[in-house]
Amino acid sequence: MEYGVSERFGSCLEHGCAHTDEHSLWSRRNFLTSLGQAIGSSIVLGSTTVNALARSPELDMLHRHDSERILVLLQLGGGNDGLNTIIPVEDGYYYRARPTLSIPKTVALPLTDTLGLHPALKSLRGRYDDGQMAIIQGVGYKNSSLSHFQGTDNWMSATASVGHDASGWVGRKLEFSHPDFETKPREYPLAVQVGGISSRLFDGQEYGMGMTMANVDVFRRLVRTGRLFDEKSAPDNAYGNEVAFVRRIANDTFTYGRAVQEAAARAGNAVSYPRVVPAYLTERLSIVARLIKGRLGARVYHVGLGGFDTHGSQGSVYGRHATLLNAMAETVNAFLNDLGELNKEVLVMTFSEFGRRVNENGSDGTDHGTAAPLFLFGPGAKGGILGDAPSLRDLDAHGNLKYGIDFRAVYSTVLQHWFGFTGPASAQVLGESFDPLDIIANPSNPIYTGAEPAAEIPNSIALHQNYPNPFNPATTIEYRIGVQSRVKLDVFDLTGRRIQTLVDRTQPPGQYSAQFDAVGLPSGTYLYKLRAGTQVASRRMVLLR
Amino acid sequence: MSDPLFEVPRKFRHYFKERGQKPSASEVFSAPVQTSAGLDPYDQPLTRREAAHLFRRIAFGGSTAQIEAVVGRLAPEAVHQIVQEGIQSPMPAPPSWHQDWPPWGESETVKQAYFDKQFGWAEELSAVWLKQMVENGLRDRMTLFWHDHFATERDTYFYAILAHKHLTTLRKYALGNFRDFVVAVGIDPAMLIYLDGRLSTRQSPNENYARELVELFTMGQFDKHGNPNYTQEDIVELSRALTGYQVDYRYFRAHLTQSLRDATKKTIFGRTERFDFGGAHLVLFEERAPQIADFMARKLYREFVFVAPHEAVVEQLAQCFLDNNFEIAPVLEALFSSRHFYSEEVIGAQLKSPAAMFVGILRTFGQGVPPRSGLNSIRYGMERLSQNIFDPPSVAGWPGYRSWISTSSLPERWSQLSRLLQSTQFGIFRLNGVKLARELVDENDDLAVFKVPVAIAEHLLAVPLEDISIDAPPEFAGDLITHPIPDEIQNGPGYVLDLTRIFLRGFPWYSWSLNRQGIAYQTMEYIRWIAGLPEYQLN
Repeated sequence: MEYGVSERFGSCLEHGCAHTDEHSLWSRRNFLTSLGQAIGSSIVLGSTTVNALARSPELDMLHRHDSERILVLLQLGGGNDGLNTIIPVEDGYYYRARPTLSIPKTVALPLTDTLGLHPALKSLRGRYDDGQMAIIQGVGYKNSSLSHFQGTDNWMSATASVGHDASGWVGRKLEFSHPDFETKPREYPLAVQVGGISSRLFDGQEYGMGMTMANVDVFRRLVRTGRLFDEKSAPDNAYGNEVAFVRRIANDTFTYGRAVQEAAARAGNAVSYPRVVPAYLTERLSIVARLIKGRLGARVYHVGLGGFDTHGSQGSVYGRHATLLNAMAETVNAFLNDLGELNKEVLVMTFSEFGRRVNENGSDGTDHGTAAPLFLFGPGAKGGILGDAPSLRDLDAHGNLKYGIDFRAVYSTVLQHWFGFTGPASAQVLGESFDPLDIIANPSNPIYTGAEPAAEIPNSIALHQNYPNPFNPATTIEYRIGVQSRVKLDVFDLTGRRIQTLVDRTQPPGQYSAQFDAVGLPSGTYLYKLRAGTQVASRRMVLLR
Repeated sequence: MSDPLFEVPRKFRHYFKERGQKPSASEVFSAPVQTSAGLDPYDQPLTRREAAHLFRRIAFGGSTAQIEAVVGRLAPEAVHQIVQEGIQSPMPAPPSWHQDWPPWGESETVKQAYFDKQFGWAEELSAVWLKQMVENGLRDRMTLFWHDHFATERDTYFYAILAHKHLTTLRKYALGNFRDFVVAVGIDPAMLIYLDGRLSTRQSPNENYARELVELFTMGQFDKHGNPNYTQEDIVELSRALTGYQVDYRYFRAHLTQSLRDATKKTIFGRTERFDFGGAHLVLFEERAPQIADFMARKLYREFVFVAPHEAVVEQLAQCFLDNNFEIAPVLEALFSSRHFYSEEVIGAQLKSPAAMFVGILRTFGQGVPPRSGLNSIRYGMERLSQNIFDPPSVAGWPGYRSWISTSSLPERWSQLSRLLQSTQFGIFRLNGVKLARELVDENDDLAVFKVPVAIAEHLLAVPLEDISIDAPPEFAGDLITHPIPDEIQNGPGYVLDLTRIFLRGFPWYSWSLNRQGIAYQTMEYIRWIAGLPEYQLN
């Protein structure tokens, strides 16, 4: 498959004279400059060429300070039918509501006196018995609109509060735990989505904190070749300039790809993954396993399994839903085996935008619903069942279940007990406080502390993009502050060195501007950072000589 | 009804986001094209490459049939026909809910239910518009241009009926008279809400709309010589003249409240009269006609020709706008018929917007439109690529140009194109590469195996094939002693051999045919490869 990156184009990095050519082009240029116009929501790359196999001292330092724990988010796209996943085997209402779709008690795998597991999940039964599978029942959110996009946005952004709406909870988490991201861009992605269209999940409030490996083809290509497009051979005319621009962006994109390639080269898959439908799930999770084992450095992975929107042909013990559950169970099981001892550091968590309607719909399916169970897998999970199964007698106006556990309480628990956020820190990411649930086996010590309570982080400062940008040699930076505070506006280079302090005084609320004169500085990307009281914002600018 | 006319439920507050600062226009890294060719009519019969260029720019792209209908004709005549068809195409039927007025007097539950419907309605509106872009070409291409020009964000006005009415206004005037258009937009309810016109009264005039009317919608801050086009006093006076229009939320319509209108004298651009809404617009177009014509000529040039303005052509285009009393269609006809438009430098020198990419590929195939679920996926894909229909990032519209392509959006484009071409997202809808190949090449031609890959690449790419850098394609497979590559191919351009080798994927050339097993897969893989080229991002 020749998609995206073609091995037939450009030059191979490892061989041949073209390599020298490309390499010099690559290193001569601080390639962040070319990203100047793209920064904001896009990937940030390191400021040096990426070819060292050893981890950088900076990375080691990061890891000393940091827990090594990794979260793998497994999204069950379309809305997983919770009632046919964890089955209320003693509930007559369930069997009356679902005359054709229900799972008979006789075939459900018994969990408790009243609950059974869908038989398609049998390969996870062992994990459950070993205490490596937590089931959290009745998870949902307020005011469900029953829309896929709204529901998915809810789970991705994990907030309904003002000011957070465009970002994702993982992006905000990473901004919080890696506050030096802006001054020390990593040469590897902090979060990776394998397959599918990227979501807002990794978008922080300031930066995109992750990458999406567009599809498995691109990954294969990166792993096999890591070839680059030729930026220099484009014709010198109007369309040639634009071609060169797109090739440059493509090549920059591949730099994260190279970190990915190196990680994948350090590790293989230790087990053979099962054949399931859809096959892409095993492909995606086996890639994640290699990247984790190869110590890529990413802390969060996101993988999707679609097809749960079972309005029709849902089936019961067999059928579409059973096939999908089987795919999830077999693949997750293989994935955790593949990781070996490392799986102690990896928590797998499922989520789905909503569950499904209690009553079946008459066309072998179920319509959009609300609350549903979610799973945590791996030795890091505290096995067992948490929360009550939602009552089938007490439904909302649409015939849907009422949730018992706010989904953000689960996120909060992951932040606090898995990643070591304090309660206030977690509240800062999620916009609200939640008491952690008892679902993590060995809760982490607090590492990340919140500086102030969530209530005190209104969007009261604004830092605007400088203009002109790129600039030479002077540019103007405008900002706004909402409350009187000590204001500091600094310019840094990408190594984190402070170049100049533009403002350092107490200012009343209002709109301000500052001039930055870059006389004597080399071309490249610079950061400017505004601090007003406890609030911080930063942006990038590009000096082009 | 008093103001505020309605209360937004807390749940939706975050949809009314704080309006951000206008971004400065995206930086231009390119110099104007060098050609001396101006706006005079192109007098050569159109080649296939020129016809394809015309369709890519005027209508997101053209199918084989549409392009062939134009090849060999003269540009002014062909373009006139396309523009007339655009003007005459009937307005689409309104959505089924276009008169489902809000239940203000009802219970909270009923009102909540009405709020909840807005998301689905808005999504439907976007999806249906995408379909209309594929089906209608020029008119909806222009409508999208105007949506970018007279930008409003649904995040601020929220209700789907307002979006529908706004879209209807844009579509109605898309090829009409620009002056009438500006007047109509000024009392479009979505715009009255978005730029606070509804809050602007005799007692407290609000400058927001007046400022954008001159700065972004008509003339810009400065003329081409750098002189200011207006003063702050002009804006204050203009805003007084525009007062009195409010939005009636019962029927989502504008209405004029005389008691809120400022009927006193105003001085705008040095003229003192009792200007009202219409009068203010007249004075705008009378006193600043050359500036407005220049500003709009630049914008049209940037949108349809190249990002850096060519001063001589912009001047001619502006004059054309003036000569035609601000009618839009004659300007488009002149532009798309000009020698300048068909100059080699201009062809392929734009970057595709997400709309140009998605609508373009569907129109290029000419094989219909995906079902609603597929259109929804495309709409969502465009949102991920920063072109969320009905929600441009600010009143300045989409920054466009190089802001479309970044290290996150480029892989995303590859991913989405790949999915569209694999049709995994679109159920029964499937693009058929073999059908396209049959349209482009006579399959009984002895050299069809070499012509198909070249014809497909020419159909899909805007840049000359000799400029796409292909190195080290696989060797031809099979017995080349018995079946040597024909001389005329051997001695032809190198890219023919290269593209054929990539197309064949190791299959012997002499036993290939469009009927062989696996041809559908082979063809679509080749098209996916083309879509993955950096050159594919050019328009």
